[in-house]
Amino acid sequence: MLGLKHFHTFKIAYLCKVIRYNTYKLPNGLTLIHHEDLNTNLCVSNLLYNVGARDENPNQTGFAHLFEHLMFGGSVNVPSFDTPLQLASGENNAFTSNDITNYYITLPADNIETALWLESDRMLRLDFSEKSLSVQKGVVIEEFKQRYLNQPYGDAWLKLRPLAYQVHPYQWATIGKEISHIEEAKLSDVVAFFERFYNPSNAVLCLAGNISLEKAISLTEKWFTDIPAGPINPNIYPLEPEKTAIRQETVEADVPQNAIYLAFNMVKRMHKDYFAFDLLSDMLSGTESSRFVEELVKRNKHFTHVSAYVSGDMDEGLFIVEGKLTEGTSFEIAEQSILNVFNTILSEGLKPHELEKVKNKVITSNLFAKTSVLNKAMALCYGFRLGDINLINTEIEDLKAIQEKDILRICKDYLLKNNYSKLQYTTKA
Amino acid sequence: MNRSIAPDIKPIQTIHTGFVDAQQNIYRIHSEEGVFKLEINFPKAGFGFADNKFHALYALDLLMSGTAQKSAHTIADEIDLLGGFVFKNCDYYSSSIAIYGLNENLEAIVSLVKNAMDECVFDEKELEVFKSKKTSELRINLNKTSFLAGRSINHLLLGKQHPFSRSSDEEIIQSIQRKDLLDFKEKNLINPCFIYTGPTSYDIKQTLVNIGFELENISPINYQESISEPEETFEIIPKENSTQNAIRLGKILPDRKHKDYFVISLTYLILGGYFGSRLMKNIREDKGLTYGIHSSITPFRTFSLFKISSECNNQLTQEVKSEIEKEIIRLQTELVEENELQTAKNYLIGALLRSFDGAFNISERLKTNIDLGGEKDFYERYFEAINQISAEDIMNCANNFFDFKTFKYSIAGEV
Repeated sequence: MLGLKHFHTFKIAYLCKVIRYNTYKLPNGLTLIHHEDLNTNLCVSNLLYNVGARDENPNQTGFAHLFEHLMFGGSVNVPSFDTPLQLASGENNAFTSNDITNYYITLPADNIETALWLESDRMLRLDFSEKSLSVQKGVVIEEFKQRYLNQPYGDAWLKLRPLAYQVHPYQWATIGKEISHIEEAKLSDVVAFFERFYNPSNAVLCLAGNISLEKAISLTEKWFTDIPAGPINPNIYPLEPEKTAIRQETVEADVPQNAIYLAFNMVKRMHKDYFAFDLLSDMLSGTESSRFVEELVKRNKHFTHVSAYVSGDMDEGLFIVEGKLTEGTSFEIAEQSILNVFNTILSEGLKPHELEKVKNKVITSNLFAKTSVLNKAMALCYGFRLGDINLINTEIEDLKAIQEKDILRICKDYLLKNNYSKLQYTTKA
Repeated sequence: MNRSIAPDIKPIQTIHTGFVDAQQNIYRIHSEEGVFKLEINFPKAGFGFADNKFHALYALDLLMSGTAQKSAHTIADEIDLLGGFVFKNCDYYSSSIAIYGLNENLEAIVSLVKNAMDECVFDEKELEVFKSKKTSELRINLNKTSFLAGRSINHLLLGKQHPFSRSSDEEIIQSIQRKDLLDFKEKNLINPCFIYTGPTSYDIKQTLVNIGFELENISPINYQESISEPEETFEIIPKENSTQNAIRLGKILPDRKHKDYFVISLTYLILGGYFGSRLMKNIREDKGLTYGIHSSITPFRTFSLFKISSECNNQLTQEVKSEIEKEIIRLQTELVEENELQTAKNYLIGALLRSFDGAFNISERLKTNIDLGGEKDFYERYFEAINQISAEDIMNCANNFFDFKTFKYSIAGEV
């Protein structure tokens, strides 16, 4: 009853909210995406490089992320990256994923040129120094400990990835397989990595916010035109063969509660089934009305927490279920009760409104995300990398197109095939 | 083109907070994004002034957990179908329910939330499930050095009984009864004010009246707070097999109304409040001893809490501590150079500008300002004051408020 009305009204709201953008390409291959938003006094520079942890040598993992740290250590003409930006009232950060490395700066629109000056100089050439490398190795090793080692269950992804992938480079995390890989990084490796991936042909820049198209183009030309073109990452990776059995590892660890992680192979981010996995994860966990909360936490009480989510990678990613077991629940029962939820979906179908509900929530959060100019700039660049800048406007339609039969199909074809990876943490006796 | 010369920058001339006054208990902030936020703010329901802090926290968490007619599941189902999001926040001075959704669904979503709140029965089964979840979270936290050190520094600064620092344990979790939560709701979840962010052409007042809210003007609450600082000055919490140590230092400082508050804000920023701060530059960017070291200020109505936090190499924790001391002595004895002072000022003003960018950010700032009993022009005065601060002011402030010997500290890990 509510649903139909809701969808109708949604269409009106959504059509008003098309994100308009322009693109412009420099002769050296740099793509500029411009999005004007006059509701803000700020401007964002988001620069995405086509390089991530999947591009690393298996014996030098963690390198893309270590390199991201070095990008703040000064460039050939500018000794400090951060200080001039802070002086211009700006703020910046960056992140590295398995697929991409993304640098972003937010500052008052009047001062946007400072961002382009700084970004272009470090694209031109970093100031490679032994001191910066040795300090950032220390920082990254502390980051490794802080995020992955020094907290219960913190190393789950370090253990889960090599179970789920045996061929594809998603088998290691962006922080790296082990601390020694970071310790052994050499300055010559840093220079080679820069020359291979950090050039305008292998990057996309978005200027979004209170800036005109003319100004965006003229400033981009001014600062980036003289940077020589370079190689484009061909993005060729070994294909992970289909798994034929369950792979598992059990770890005895200093943890307060037994925990289980199930990682199911799923599709690429651009596959038409991607949103079926995404919506299914929302149906399973997320709110008080989701299946895992109802079935596994409140009804049979096998878990105190249990959630599902997708990794969202550009190549074939993972659909993850992770849960903390209640005392007295065995791993066998916990695992079976998760699989039973998929079986029930497959045999009984979805409940009335179940799919519509999660779609409606995504629509609301999508509109909220578009109130932030930084979110829009990141989404435009990521869309470009995925092959379609206009995804920011069309992905909601793709999501709405998902039907009950798609959800049932992915349960059958991906989640109930006894070929997942399983990680179990047991408490020390 | 000379790439070694920075482009010209323009100083920020003024800050517009976008703050508004309430009319009949409703603050309205205009937005045309197709989505709304309605925050229902209960000034008598903060955990800082409840008879029992944990009753406040649990009552808020369980406020959508079911009525005589509807289960938690049904309530969530109905709100989800409308694409609505509900967040329950139990803060120190007030508690609030923040509701988000598409504009056209505002009345339907808010009605569902009001009914769920008004009729909440705090079902025993829901409470039991929630207790087991909280117990699990607590056990996980007790395995984190960051949690142990963070809890400890609050105890050292405010004592174990102060509502801000008072910490949970399994006995407390088990002691909470359904009746406590019902009592808290009856006594404290009353007389709300509303912060609405959405199109101001929409008659939010009429909608709230239709739904059944009463919009009588309420007089501001006179929060009585006092602190009795314990004598202990440090605590070491051994935790075997830690790969890092968590270190926290802290001190009680004056509140936002104090004449020196603005210069304190800039001084702590220069010390450790942003990426370009001295602690980050020295301990992370020069020595590589940590992934991060930060200083922060949490303001209350009559005091504020200053803290320095870091997770660092456990072999070199003493070195981190003595470098912090060195940096403070440097602030006390050497004038900050003009370029560093200007960089910190500009960064701080940029951070202010970003925090007021867009209606939804403004509404968050407004809520904090209401909680702290702040004047509407607080941030304008802040902006003006920052621009006037000199290097001598920073040095005097470091001497008056940041004497290292007056800091308390906690270290958790391999010690």
